[in-house]
Amino acid sequence: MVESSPGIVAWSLVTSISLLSAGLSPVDTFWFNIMVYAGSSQLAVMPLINGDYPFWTIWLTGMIVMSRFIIFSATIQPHFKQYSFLQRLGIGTINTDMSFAKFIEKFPSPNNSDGSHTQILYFLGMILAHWIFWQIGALIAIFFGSDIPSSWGLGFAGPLALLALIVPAIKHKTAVVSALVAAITCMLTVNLPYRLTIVCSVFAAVFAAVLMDKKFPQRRA
Amino acid sequence: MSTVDLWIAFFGLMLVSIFTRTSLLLLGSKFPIPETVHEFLRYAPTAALIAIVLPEVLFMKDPATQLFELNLYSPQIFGAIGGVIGFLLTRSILATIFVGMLFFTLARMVM
Repeated sequence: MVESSPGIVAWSLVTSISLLSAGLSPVDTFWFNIMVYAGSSQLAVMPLINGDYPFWTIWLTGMIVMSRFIIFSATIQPHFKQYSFLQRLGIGTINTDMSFAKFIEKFPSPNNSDGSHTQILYFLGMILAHWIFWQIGALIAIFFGSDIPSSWGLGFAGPLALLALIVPAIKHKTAVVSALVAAITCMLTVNLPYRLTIVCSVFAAVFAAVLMDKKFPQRRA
Repeated sequence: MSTVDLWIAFFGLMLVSIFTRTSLLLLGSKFPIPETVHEFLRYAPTAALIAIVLPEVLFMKDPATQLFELNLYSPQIFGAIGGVIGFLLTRSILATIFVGMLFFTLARMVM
Protein backbone atom coordinates (compact mmCIF):
# COMPACT_ATOMS: atom_id res chain seq x y z
CA MET A 1 0.00 0.00 0.00
CA VAL A 2 2.98 2.27 0.66
CA GLU A 3 3.90 1.64 -2.97
CA SER A 4 0.53 2.91 -4.23
CA SER A 5 0.60 5.90 -1.89
CA PRO A 6 1.51 8.47 -4.60
CA GLY A 7 -1.56 7.34 -6.55
CA ILE A 8 -3.85 7.53 -3.51
CA VAL A 9 -2.53 10.93 -2.37
CA ALA A 10 -2.75 12.38 -5.89
CA TRP A 11 -6.29 11.09 -6.34
CA SER A 12 -7.42 12.42 -2.98
CA LEU A 13 -5.70 15.74 -3.64
CA VAL A 14 -7.53 16.20 -6.93
CA THR A 15 -10.85 15.11 -5.39
CA SER A 16 -10.58 17.62 -2.54
CA ILE A 17 -9.46 20.40 -4.90
CA SER A 18 -12.68 19.80 -6.89
CA LEU A 19 -14.76 19.86 -3.69
CA LEU A 20 -13.12 23.13 -2.62
CA SER A 21 -13.55 24.71 -6.01
CA ALA A 22 -17.21 23.65 -5.97
CA GLY A 23 -17.56 25.96 -2.97
CA LEU A 24 -17.13 23.70 0.07
CA SER A 25 -15.25 25.40 2.92
CA PRO A 26 -11.89 23.91 4.04
CA VAL A 27 -13.36 22.73 7.37
CA ASP A 28 -16.36 21.10 5.65
CA THR A 29 -14.06 19.49 3.09
CA PHE A 30 -11.97 18.00 5.89
CA TRP A 31 -14.97 16.51 7.72
CA PHE A 32 -16.59 15.36 4.47
CA ASN A 33 -13.51 13.18 3.82
CA ILE A 34 -13.36 11.90 7.40
CA MET A 35 -17.07 11.07 7.65
CA VAL A 36 -18.00 9.86 4.18
CA TYR A 37 -14.59 8.76 2.83
CA ALA A 38 -15.87 7.88 -0.64
CA GLY A 39 -14.34 10.04 -3.37
CA SER A 40 -16.65 9.06 -6.21
CA SER A 41 -19.77 9.49 -4.07
CA GLN A 42 -18.56 12.84 -2.67
CA LEU A 43 -17.93 14.22 -6.16
CA ALA A 44 -21.28 12.95 -7.43
CA VAL A 45 -23.37 14.65 -4.72
CA MET A 46 -21.50 17.98 -4.81
CA PRO A 47 -23.71 19.54 -7.53
CA LEU A 48 -26.80 18.38 -5.58
CA ILE A 49 -25.52 19.94 -2.36
CA ASN A 50 -24.82 23.17 -4.22
CA GLY A 51 -28.27 23.11 -5.79
CA ASP A 52 -30.02 22.63 -2.40
CA TYR A 53 -31.57 19.33 -3.51
CA PRO A 54 -33.62 17.35 -0.98
CA PHE A 55 -31.67 15.07 1.34
CA TRP A 56 -33.14 11.86 -0.07
CA THR A 57 -31.89 12.77 -3.57
CA ILE A 58 -28.40 13.32 -2.19
CA TRP A 59 -28.41 10.09 -0.18
CA LEU A 60 -29.91 8.03 -3.00
CA THR A 61 -27.25 9.32 -5.38
CA GLY A 62 -24.56 8.35 -2.88
CA MET A 63 -26.17 4.94 -2.53
CA ILE A 64 -26.21 4.24 -6.28
CA VAL A 65 -22.60 5.38 -6.71
CA MET A 66 -21.57 3.16 -3.79
CA SER A 67 -23.68 0.14 -4.79
CA ARG A 68 -20.63 -1.73 -6.15
CA PHE A 69 -19.47 -2.08 -2.55
CA ILE A 70 -22.49 -4.29 -1.77
CA ILE A 71 -21.03 -6.81 -4.24
CA PHE A 72 -17.55 -6.30 -2.75
CA SER A 73 -18.87 -6.88 0.77
CA ALA A 74 -20.30 -10.22 -0.38
CA THR A 75 -16.96 -11.15 -1.92
CA ILE A 76 -14.94 -10.60 1.26
CA GLN A 77 -17.60 -12.13 3.52
CA PRO A 78 -16.32 -15.77 3.37
CA HIS A 79 -12.84 -14.49 4.30
CA PHE A 80 -13.97 -12.87 7.53
CA LYS A 81 -17.03 -14.87 8.58
CA GLN A 82 -15.40 -16.06 11.81
CA TYR A 83 -15.06 -12.54 13.19
CA SER A 84 -17.57 -10.70 15.39
CA PHE A 85 -20.20 -8.26 14.15
CA LEU A 86 -18.24 -5.26 15.42
CA GLN A 87 -14.96 -6.48 13.91
CA ARG A 88 -16.65 -6.97 10.52
CA LEU A 89 -18.34 -3.57 10.82
CA GLY A 90 -14.95 -2.01 11.57
CA ILE A 91 -13.04 -3.50 8.66
CA GLY A 92 -15.90 -3.11 6.18
CA THR A 93 -16.50 0.56 6.92
CA ILE A 94 -13.29 1.83 5.31
CA ASN A 95 -12.98 -0.67 2.47
CA THR A 96 -11.93 0.82 -0.89
CA ASP A 97 -11.82 -0.37 -4.50
CA MET A 98 -8.05 -0.53 -4.46
CA SER A 99 -7.64 -2.35 -1.12
CA PHE A 100 -10.35 -4.82 -2.07
CA ALA A 101 -8.73 -5.62 -5.41
CA LYS A 102 -5.30 -6.06 -3.84
CA PHE A 103 -6.69 -8.29 -1.11
CA ILE A 104 -8.54 -10.63 -3.50
CA GLU A 105 -5.44 -10.80 -5.71
CA LYS A 106 -3.32 -11.81 -2.71
CA PHE A 107 -5.87 -14.14 -1.06
CA PRO A 108 -8.13 -15.60 -3.79
CA SER A 109 -9.32 -18.35 -1.47
CA PRO A 110 -11.11 -17.72 1.85
CA ASN A 111 -9.57 -20.91 3.26
CA ASN A 112 -7.32 -20.08 6.14
CA SER A 113 -6.02 -23.52 6.88
CA ASP A 114 -3.69 -22.70 9.78
CA GLY A 115 -6.37 -20.65 11.53
CA SER A 116 -4.07 -17.62 11.76
CA HIS A 117 -5.19 -14.00 11.43
CA THR A 118 -2.95 -13.28 8.41
CA GLN A 119 -5.83 -12.31 6.12
CA ILE A 120 -7.56 -9.89 8.45
CA LEU A 121 -4.26 -8.28 9.50
CA TYR A 122 -3.25 -7.81 5.87
CA PHE A 123 -6.65 -6.30 5.06
CA LEU A 124 -6.64 -4.07 8.14
CA GLY A 125 -3.12 -2.77 7.46
CA MET A 126 -4.03 -1.98 3.89
CA ILE A 127 -7.30 -0.14 4.53
CA LEU A 128 -5.80 1.86 7.40
CA ALA A 129 -2.82 2.89 5.26
CA HIS A 130 -5.20 3.80 2.44
CA TRP A 131 -7.33 5.89 4.83
CA ILE A 132 -4.28 7.78 6.14
CA PHE A 133 -2.89 8.50 2.65
CA TRP A 134 -6.34 9.69 1.52
CA GLN A 135 -6.60 12.13 4.45
CA ILE A 136 -3.03 13.35 3.79
CA GLY A 137 -4.06 14.15 0.21
CA ALA A 138 -7.13 16.02 1.48
CA LEU A 139 -5.01 18.06 3.93
CA ILE A 140 -2.52 18.96 1.18
CA ALA A 141 -5.46 20.16 -0.93
CA ILE A 142 -6.85 22.21 1.96
CA PHE A 143 -3.54 23.92 2.81
CA PHE A 144 -1.69 24.05 -0.52
CA GLY A 145 -4.39 23.32 -3.11
CA SER A 146 -4.30 26.78 -4.60
CA ASP A 147 -0.52 26.52 -5.14
CA ILE A 148 -0.79 23.39 -7.29
CA PRO A 149 -1.46 24.24 -10.95
CA SER A 150 -4.11 21.97 -12.45
CA SER A 151 -2.00 21.96 -15.62
CA TRP A 152 0.33 19.45 -13.98
CA GLY A 153 -2.33 16.80 -14.44
CA LEU A 154 -1.46 15.16 -11.11
CA GLY A 155 -4.83 13.46 -10.99
CA PHE A 156 -3.72 11.02 -13.68
CA ALA A 157 -1.51 9.29 -11.08
CA GLY A 158 -4.68 7.74 -9.59
CA PRO A 159 -5.75 5.79 -12.69
CA LEU A 160 -2.11 4.78 -13.24
CA ALA A 161 -1.89 3.24 -9.77
CA LEU A 162 -5.04 1.21 -10.55
CA LEU A 163 -3.54 0.13 -13.89
CA ALA A 164 -0.78 -1.62 -11.91
CA LEU A 165 -3.50 -3.66 -10.18
CA ILE A 166 -5.50 -4.46 -13.31
CA VAL A 167 -2.66 -5.82 -15.49
CA PRO A 168 -1.46 -8.58 -13.10
CA ALA A 169 -5.05 -9.74 -12.46
CA ILE A 170 -5.56 -10.64 -16.14
CA LYS A 171 -3.57 -13.86 -16.07
CA HIS A 172 -5.62 -16.66 -17.66
CA LYS A 173 -8.23 -17.16 -20.38
CA THR A 174 -11.32 -16.58 -18.21
CA ALA A 175 -9.77 -13.44 -16.70
CA VAL A 176 -8.94 -12.06 -20.18
CA VAL A 177 -12.48 -12.59 -21.45
CA SER A 178 -13.99 -11.22 -18.24
CA ALA A 179 -11.78 -8.10 -18.44
CA LEU A 180 -12.62 -7.55 -22.13
CA VAL A 181 -16.34 -7.82 -21.39
CA ALA A 182 -15.90 -5.33 -18.53
CA ALA A 183 -14.07 -2.91 -20.86
CA ILE A 184 -16.68 -3.17 -23.64
CA THR A 185 -19.55 -2.79 -21.15
CA CYS A 186 -17.85 0.23 -19.65
CA MET A 187 -17.42 1.86 -23.08
CA LEU A 188 -21.10 1.27 -23.91
CA THR A 189 -22.43 2.54 -20.56
CA VAL A 190 -19.91 5.29 -19.81
CA ASN A 191 -22.50 8.05 -20.00
CA LEU A 192 -25.03 6.51 -17.61
CA PRO A 193 -25.69 8.72 -14.57
CA TYR A 194 -24.47 7.94 -11.05
CA ARG A 195 -21.37 6.17 -12.39
CA LEU A 196 -23.61 3.15 -12.99
CA THR A 197 -21.08 2.05 -15.58
CA ILE A 198 -19.06 0.51 -12.73
CA VAL A 199 -21.90 -1.73 -11.54
CA CYS A 200 -22.87 -2.66 -15.13
CA SER A 201 -19.26 -3.63 -15.90
CA VAL A 202 -18.96 -5.69 -12.72
CA PHE A 203 -22.16 -7.64 -13.46
CA ALA A 204 -21.18 -8.23 -17.10
CA ALA A 205 -17.66 -9.35 -16.15
CA VAL A 206 -18.86 -11.80 -13.50
CA PHE A 207 -21.51 -13.15 -15.89
CA ALA A 208 -18.87 -13.59 -18.60
CA ALA A 209 -16.71 -15.55 -16.16
CA VAL A 210 -19.65 -17.87 -15.37
CA LEU A 211 -20.27 -18.47 -19.09
CA MET A 212 -16.57 -19.11 -19.75
CA ASP A 213 -16.50 -21.65 -16.96
CA LYS A 214 -19.55 -23.44 -18.40
CA LYS A 215 -17.99 -23.57 -21.84
CA PHE A 216 -14.46 -24.49 -20.76
CA PRO A 217 -14.77 -26.17 -17.36
CA GLN A 218 -11.42 -25.87 -15.64
CA ARG A 219 -9.87 -27.59 -12.68
CA ARG A 220 -10.73 -25.74 -9.50
CA ALA A 221 -7.52 -24.18 -8.32
CA MET B 1 -27.18 24.88 1.91
CA SER B 2 -26.95 25.94 5.57
CA THR B 3 -24.30 24.47 7.84
CA VAL B 4 -26.86 22.34 9.67
CA ASP B 5 -28.30 21.02 6.40
CA LEU B 6 -24.80 20.29 5.13
CA TRP B 7 -24.03 18.21 8.22
CA ILE B 8 -27.32 16.32 7.93
CA ALA B 9 -26.35 15.54 4.32
CA PHE B 10 -22.84 14.42 5.41
CA PHE B 11 -24.22 12.29 8.22
CA GLY B 12 -26.65 10.50 5.90
CA LEU B 13 -23.89 9.95 3.35
CA MET B 14 -21.71 8.51 6.10
CA LEU B 15 -24.43 5.97 6.92
CA VAL B 16 -24.77 5.20 3.18
CA SER B 17 -21.00 4.56 2.96
CA ILE B 18 -21.05 2.27 5.98
CA PHE B 19 -24.19 0.45 4.85
CA THR B 20 -22.97 -0.30 1.31
CA ARG B 21 -19.50 -1.34 2.43
CA THR B 22 -20.59 -3.66 5.23
CA SER B 23 -24.04 -4.91 4.11
CA LEU B 24 -23.35 -8.47 2.97
CA LEU B 25 -20.24 -8.73 5.11
CA LEU B 26 -22.55 -8.45 8.13
CA LEU B 27 -25.57 -10.35 6.77
CA GLY B 28 -23.39 -13.08 5.32
CA SER B 29 -23.37 -15.18 8.46
CA LYS B 30 -27.12 -15.69 8.02
CA PHE B 31 -26.83 -16.22 4.25
CA PRO B 32 -23.55 -18.00 3.62
CA ILE B 33 -22.12 -17.38 0.16
CA PRO B 34 -21.58 -20.65 -1.76
CA GLU B 35 -18.05 -21.43 -2.88
CA THR B 36 -18.97 -21.41 -6.59
CA VAL B 37 -20.53 -17.93 -6.29
CA HIS B 38 -17.46 -16.69 -4.46
CA GLU B 39 -15.24 -18.06 -7.19
CA PHE B 40 -16.97 -15.88 -9.79
CA LEU B 41 -17.21 -12.83 -7.55
CA ARG B 42 -13.41 -12.84 -7.65
CA TYR B 43 -13.71 -11.23 -11.10
CA ALA B 44 -15.62 -8.26 -9.61
CA PRO B 45 -12.68 -6.16 -8.36
CA THR B 46 -10.77 -6.10 -11.66
CA ALA B 47 -13.96 -5.23 -13.55
CA ALA B 48 -14.67 -2.34 -11.17
CA LEU B 49 -11.12 -1.00 -11.54
CA ILE B 50 -11.40 -1.24 -15.35
CA ALA B 51 -14.66 0.73 -15.23
CA ILE B 52 -13.00 3.39 -13.07
CA VAL B 53 -9.83 3.73 -15.17
CA LEU B 54 -11.19 3.38 -18.71
CA PRO B 55 -13.29 6.60 -18.75
CA GLU B 56 -10.17 8.53 -17.64
CA VAL B 57 -8.05 7.02 -20.44
CA LEU B 58 -10.20 6.43 -23.52
CA PHE B 59 -12.62 9.31 -23.07
CA MET B 60 -12.62 13.07 -22.75
CA LYS B 61 -15.34 14.90 -20.89
CA ASP B 62 -17.08 17.48 -23.04
CA PRO B 63 -17.10 20.60 -20.84
CA ALA B 64 -20.41 21.80 -22.28
CA THR B 65 -22.52 18.63 -22.08
CA GLN B 66 -20.54 16.85 -19.31
CA LEU B 67 -20.72 13.68 -21.46
CA PHE B 68 -17.80 11.35 -22.11
CA GLU B 69 -16.63 11.30 -25.70
CA LEU B 70 -14.32 8.66 -27.12
CA ASN B 71 -10.88 10.11 -27.79
CA LEU B 72 -8.23 7.67 -28.94
CA TYR B 73 -5.52 10.28 -29.55
CA SER B 74 -4.96 11.84 -26.15
CA PRO B 75 -2.05 12.24 -23.70
CA GLN B 76 -3.95 9.88 -21.40
CA ILE B 77 -3.64 7.04 -23.94
CA PHE B 78 0.13 7.53 -24.13
CA GLY B 79 0.28 7.78 -20.35
CA ALA B 80 -1.60 4.50 -19.95
CA ILE B 81 0.65 2.78 -22.53
CA GLY B 82 3.67 4.09 -20.61
CA GLY B 83 2.16 2.84 -17.36
CA VAL B 84 1.61 -0.67 -18.74
CA ILE B 85 5.18 -0.76 -20.12
CA GLY B 86 6.50 0.45 -16.77
CA PHE B 87 4.54 -2.23 -14.96
CA LEU B 88 5.52 -5.09 -17.28
CA LEU B 89 9.21 -4.17 -17.00
CA THR B 90 9.35 -3.68 -13.24
CA ARG B 91 6.15 -5.17 -11.69
CA SER B 92 6.20 -2.11 -9.40
CA ILE B 93 3.30 0.30 -8.82
CA LEU B 94 5.69 3.18 -8.23
CA ALA B 95 7.40 2.63 -11.60
CA THR B 96 3.98 2.32 -13.26
CA ILE B 97 2.99 5.74 -11.91
CA PHE B 98 6.38 7.27 -12.75
CA VAL B 99 6.69 6.00 -16.35
CA GLY B 100 2.98 6.66 -16.94
CA MET B 101 3.25 10.27 -15.73
CA LEU B 102 6.41 10.72 -17.81
CA PHE B 103 4.70 9.53 -21.02
CA PHE B 104 1.56 11.54 -20.15
CA THR B 105 3.52 14.76 -19.51
CA LEU B 106 5.71 14.38 -22.61
CA ALA B 107 2.66 13.69 -24.76
CA ARG B 108 0.96 16.80 -23.40
CA MET B 109 4.00 18.90 -24.26
CA VAL B 110 4.14 17.56 -27.82
CA MET B 111 0.42 17.36 -28.63
